[in-house]
Amino acid sequence: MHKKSPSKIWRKFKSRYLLIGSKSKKTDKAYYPPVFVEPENSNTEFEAYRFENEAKLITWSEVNAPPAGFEDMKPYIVGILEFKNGERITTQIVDVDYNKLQKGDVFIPTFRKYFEDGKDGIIHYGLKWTKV
Amino acid sequence: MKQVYVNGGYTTKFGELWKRDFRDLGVEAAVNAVQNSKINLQDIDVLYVANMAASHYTGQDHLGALFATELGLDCPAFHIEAACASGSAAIRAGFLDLLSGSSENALILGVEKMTDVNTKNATEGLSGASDEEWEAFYGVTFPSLYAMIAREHMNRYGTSHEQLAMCSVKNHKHGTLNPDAHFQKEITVEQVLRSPVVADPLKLFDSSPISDGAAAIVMSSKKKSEIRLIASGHAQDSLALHDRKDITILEATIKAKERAFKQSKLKNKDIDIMEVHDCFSIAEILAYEDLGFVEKGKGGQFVESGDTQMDGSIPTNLSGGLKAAGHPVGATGVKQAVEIVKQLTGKAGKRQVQKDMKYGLTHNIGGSGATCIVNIFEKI
Repeated sequence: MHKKSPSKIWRKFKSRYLLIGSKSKKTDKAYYPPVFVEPENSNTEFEAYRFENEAKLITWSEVNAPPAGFEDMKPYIVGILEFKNGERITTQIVDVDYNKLQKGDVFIPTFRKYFEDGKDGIIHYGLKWTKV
Repeated sequence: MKQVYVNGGYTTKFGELWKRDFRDLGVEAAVNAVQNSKINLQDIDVLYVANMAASHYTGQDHLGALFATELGLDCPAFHIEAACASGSAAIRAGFLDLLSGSSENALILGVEKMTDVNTKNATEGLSGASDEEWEAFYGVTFPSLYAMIAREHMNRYGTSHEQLAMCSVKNHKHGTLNPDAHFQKEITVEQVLRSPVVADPLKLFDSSPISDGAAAIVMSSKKKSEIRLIASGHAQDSLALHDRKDITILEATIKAKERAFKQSKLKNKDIDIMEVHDCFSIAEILAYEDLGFVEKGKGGQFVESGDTQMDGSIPTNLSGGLKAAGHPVGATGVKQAVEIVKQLTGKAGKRQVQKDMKYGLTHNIGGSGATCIVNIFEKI
């Protein structure tokens, strides 16, 4: 299972745990997830940029047919959130009443377990988001 | 300028084909497509194999070599992968190859064997068409991506659950007339609405099935037939849904259609019949809007109007679409082409549209809209 390789996970620690994106040295626009090439002008020079711990809900769904590795969480909520500058992320949403979710709800990140590599394997963590 | 003719096509039965394997499905489609084209296998001078995830589902890679071996060919053979749009991407590759003069007879084979793994592994395999690091990592599935599109479309334009269901009802109705379809049973709006929720708001009957199957066509720059492939528009958008400017618009569809229409010098009103990508009911509604048959937000009403039924103004998904005909991913785009060729040549049997038709369009999406290919066929 390629997604359970420890190195595959820790390579993304800064982006996934600290919301580090990339800020263009040419336009000052910040991107999350980080990009290698700026779409509008092909710029490749960026600096690290930390996104805020707050984002607004754009759309969401409750997953009842999960892929391998997520069976124990069923059902779980996924959503697309938007930062202040318009950048968006896809994530899991937790500790909310699904039926009361509304577009524009404000969310903050919380550190949670994502999946584990079998009973004796590594437990992988990451950010999920919860309502303010 | 060279012309590209479609000389023959064939589709295997689609479905959960427990007794069939990856190879024999592909060989059945390829051999029969060549026989229908009235040329010999040895006349094939290039082979394109469309497939999304054989290595995940069957453990097999090197698909060009695999099917060249099985068919006794030593011509160049390529594997084309563009997720669910692999079939149309392979047709486009063959189209460009023939136009270039590099080859004269191209065999395009689309094949997928998905039921050798269980459902959760099949779902995981399909997730590879999304952004693995920034979508699938978080447990996001394809149904949930389209569900998030559907929620926003419903919120913004008032598209109803019933209108979504009508896409599935129509496609199942058409599927009853296609003996090769995965499902040959009519369903009702009520049944769709009562079916289990896969990813809210999408239900099981809003969703295309996991299918096995293969389809093939033979295209030629020399041997003339009554069908030509006259345009192939291809466009990309961001891999991840969250990176789109507007998640209710598939920009790749708009651009692919514009490119195909520019090549063919056609307009929407010229298209007589089409097969569009209905991996989920909302995808068919987006297709009507982004292909320009109705304005944004009116796709639900368009389905409700009956215009896309067999006897409507623009009959759509007479094969049963992905929903009823099935969705063996790599085969889907080729099956769409086979259906359009059958319809334009009057060989579609019980589902034959009863009107004079000259132009047919196929619309094939990869992922949640990251790839779109629009191919246009003409009856000469």
